[in-house]
Amino acid sequence: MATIKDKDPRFQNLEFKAGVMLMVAIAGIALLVLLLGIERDLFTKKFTLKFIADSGSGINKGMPVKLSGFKVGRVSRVELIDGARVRVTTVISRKYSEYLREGVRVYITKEGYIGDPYVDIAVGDLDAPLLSDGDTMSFHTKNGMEQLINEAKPALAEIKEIIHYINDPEGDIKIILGNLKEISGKLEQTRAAITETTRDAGKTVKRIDRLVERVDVKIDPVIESAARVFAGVESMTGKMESVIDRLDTVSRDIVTITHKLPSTVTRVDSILDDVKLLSSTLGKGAPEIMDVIRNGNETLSESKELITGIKTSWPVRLFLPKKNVPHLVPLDSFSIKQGAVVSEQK
Amino acid sequence: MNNTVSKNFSFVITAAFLFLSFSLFTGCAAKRSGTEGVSYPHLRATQARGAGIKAFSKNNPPLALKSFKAALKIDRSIDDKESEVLDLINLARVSIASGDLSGAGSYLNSAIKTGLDAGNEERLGAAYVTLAKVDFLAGRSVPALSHIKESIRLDEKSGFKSGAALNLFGSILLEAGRTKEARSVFESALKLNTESNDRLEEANSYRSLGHLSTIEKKYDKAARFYSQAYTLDKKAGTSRKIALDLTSLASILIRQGFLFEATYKLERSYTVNINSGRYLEAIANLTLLVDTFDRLGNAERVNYFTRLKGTLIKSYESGKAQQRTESR
Repeated sequence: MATIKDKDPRFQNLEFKAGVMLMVAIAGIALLVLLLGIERDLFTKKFTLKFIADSGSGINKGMPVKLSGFKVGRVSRVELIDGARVRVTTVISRKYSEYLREGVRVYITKEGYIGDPYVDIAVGDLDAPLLSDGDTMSFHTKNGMEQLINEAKPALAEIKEIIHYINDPEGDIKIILGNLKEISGKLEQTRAAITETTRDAGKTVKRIDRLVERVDVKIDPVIESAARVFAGVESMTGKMESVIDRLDTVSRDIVTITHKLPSTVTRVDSILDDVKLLSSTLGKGAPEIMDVIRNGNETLSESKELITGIKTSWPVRLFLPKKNVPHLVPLDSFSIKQGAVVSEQK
Repeated sequence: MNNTVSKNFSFVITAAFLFLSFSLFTGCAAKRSGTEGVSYPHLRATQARGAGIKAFSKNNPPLALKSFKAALKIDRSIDDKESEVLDLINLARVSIASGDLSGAGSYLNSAIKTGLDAGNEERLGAAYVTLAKVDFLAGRSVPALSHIKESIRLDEKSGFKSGAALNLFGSILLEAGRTKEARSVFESALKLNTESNDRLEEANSYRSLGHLSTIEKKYDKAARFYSQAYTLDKKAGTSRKIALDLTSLASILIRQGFLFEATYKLERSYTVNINSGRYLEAIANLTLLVDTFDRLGNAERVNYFTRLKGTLIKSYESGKAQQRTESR
């Protein structure tokens, strides 16, 4: 008896049809894998380069590595090493190796200030030797809000120190200003005294001149020598006058500087007033700010407890990556003994 | 009836499937996170070691010693030789910081013996470099040299390069009067520390090159090296080194005849030292200030700093006397 298999044409060549379907599916999957592989650079030759950072914060496995804005690789490993520093291993496509030479600089940077972080390689000297597999690149920090804040902190501290230094009534600046005022006053007096002396010398010379006119013409040689002496005196007077002129100019300059300095000090004072105003405004708002900070701290503390609880609970803790902890206290190669060596040499 | 049995059967099969899948999944995750095989004592020892490192970084050597001793006790009880070596090295490094060189030496000898007995050379480089520092501080230059060489050899064997070890090697060579070799080692250390982004050791390399240039009477070069060390130390905020860099810069300026500029650096060094509670260094700064102002012929400043020095010596001695009374 003929079954439905024999009667229904759909069952004819069923094995062949199933085989074709299977082949097409396998070919499709293989093509998909191939395309994904090409897309993810799975089939390109690669090599590893390393760098060492102070902290692993913001560096993750799989993070893109870019060269001149082009993705050239990814972070393959992040590990903690001696001295609590972090060694980062990157895998780079071999085709970009010609740009990676000794002297390249590595940064952790972001798309803008709050974008996704990535490892940025800045090309160095193109005539330097090529980096080879396993070489270490030099790591530097740039950009990022934290970096900006950290850079601003010492500058602000130094500005505060400078303002304090300038404003210190016992400080060098105030003392120098006082001294300059005193010196300019004294110079003014000295200039007046020298002018007076020169005027007197001029008068004396004129009197001697008149006396000489009365002396007998018979003593010509004496007169001639006296004339030479007077000529010398006159030329000395001329030189004295040029010195006095110069002193006069210097004195005027010092007076100008002395006049300008108080206005500078006034400007610094006004800056200080602004700082004081800002402090007092902050002081007035302090209770509210303190409340906000206290509430923020409590919220943070509770959130921290909650997160710690979640992190330590089963099964969440099983999914979390193992935390790397430093094993050794860092060794500082410097010892005070070396400082003492130099001190003894002084 | 049959329907009920079938439903129950489906439920049991589904539950079993879900359980098996979950077990497999969590098993894989556990394997991935490396939490399998970690015993409770091992975890406690790791925690104690972490607490010790934290205490040391917070400048609390007594607590650090206590924590490392606790870790050592646990590691010995579970026969974890590798961790035992780590604990002993940590104990030695804290002992050095506390000035106990003989204690540090015995911890390190024990660490080396334990590492060799267990056939584990991985951490011995760290043990030898620490031992070299102990020898260097104790003035034993011959063993210091042999231990630092052994440390560098072991590190190279395990593919590791330590800028700190090179800096120490250079210092040992410098003390032995081998200035040419010392310079080459310091320069290698500087390159390595810059590349590895180790700012603390980079500053140490610059300072050491400054010392070396001072010995060679190349004062311009020395001033440049000290300035670079000072810049890095200022960023790191290590007050002792900041003060030392300033004093070293002042000493160079004095040698170059810039006495007035030197007094400025010395005053800053004094301020750093006095604010960090280092009275002896502050007194040394004042002595130099008095000498320099004396050479400048500034009697007013000489009197001022002489008075300040006298007051400081008095308060330092009374503080010490009080400490002695309290200890009794």
